[in-house]
Amino acid sequence: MPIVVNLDVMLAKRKMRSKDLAKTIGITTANLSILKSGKAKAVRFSTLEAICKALDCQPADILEFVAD
Amino acid sequence: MYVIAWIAFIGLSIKAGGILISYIVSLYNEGAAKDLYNGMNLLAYKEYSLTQYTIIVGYRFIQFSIQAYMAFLVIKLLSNLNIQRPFNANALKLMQIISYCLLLLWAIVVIHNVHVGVLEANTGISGELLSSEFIYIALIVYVFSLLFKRGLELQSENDLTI
Repeated sequence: MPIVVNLDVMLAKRKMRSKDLAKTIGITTANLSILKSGKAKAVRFSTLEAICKALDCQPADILEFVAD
Repeated sequence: MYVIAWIAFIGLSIKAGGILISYIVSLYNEGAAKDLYNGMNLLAYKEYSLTQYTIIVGYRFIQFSIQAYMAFLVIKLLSNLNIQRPFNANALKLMQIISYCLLLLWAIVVIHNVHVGVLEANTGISGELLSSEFIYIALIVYVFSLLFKRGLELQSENDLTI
């Protein structure tokens, strides 16, 4: 898929673990793993907002468009 | 529903088995064809031709066998039903098989009715025609299976929405 999720990069920059982020934004680690692996079909605005708040970043820091 | 499906499956299996056994008995006992199963009188066919009699009994046996198999599929469908996550690939497959079975049942009933009609025209033996409304049910079940397929896609998309 041309949309790449750079959540791992942001987690590393903020020195935060996936488990802690999942707990902070209120989703399961399994769902966070789906998001990180790029298997997710869609991201809710509420989830994106929670991730941006928790990681203190912009949506563009997490999502990137890469042409096939 | 689950209990009713089990009762239907057992009842239809007994019916199919009963017809088969009565048919075997009727080959050696003339009177048995008079009341093959639950008042089913096929003696006239047997007296006319054993082949025709066998084919007519065969239609009934196949009809009840398919109905019993469909009841079995309904049992499987109900046993796997999860109201929280109703759409799954297995249920979709079962619904499609049920619709194909209904279509097959309709085809067999139509062939039976045509056969009985031809025999009546040629020999004067009037036979009981079977209800051929299975086609409507088959179409309804097939349409439902298509809706179910779309529901499965939507559920899968919803599951992958984080």
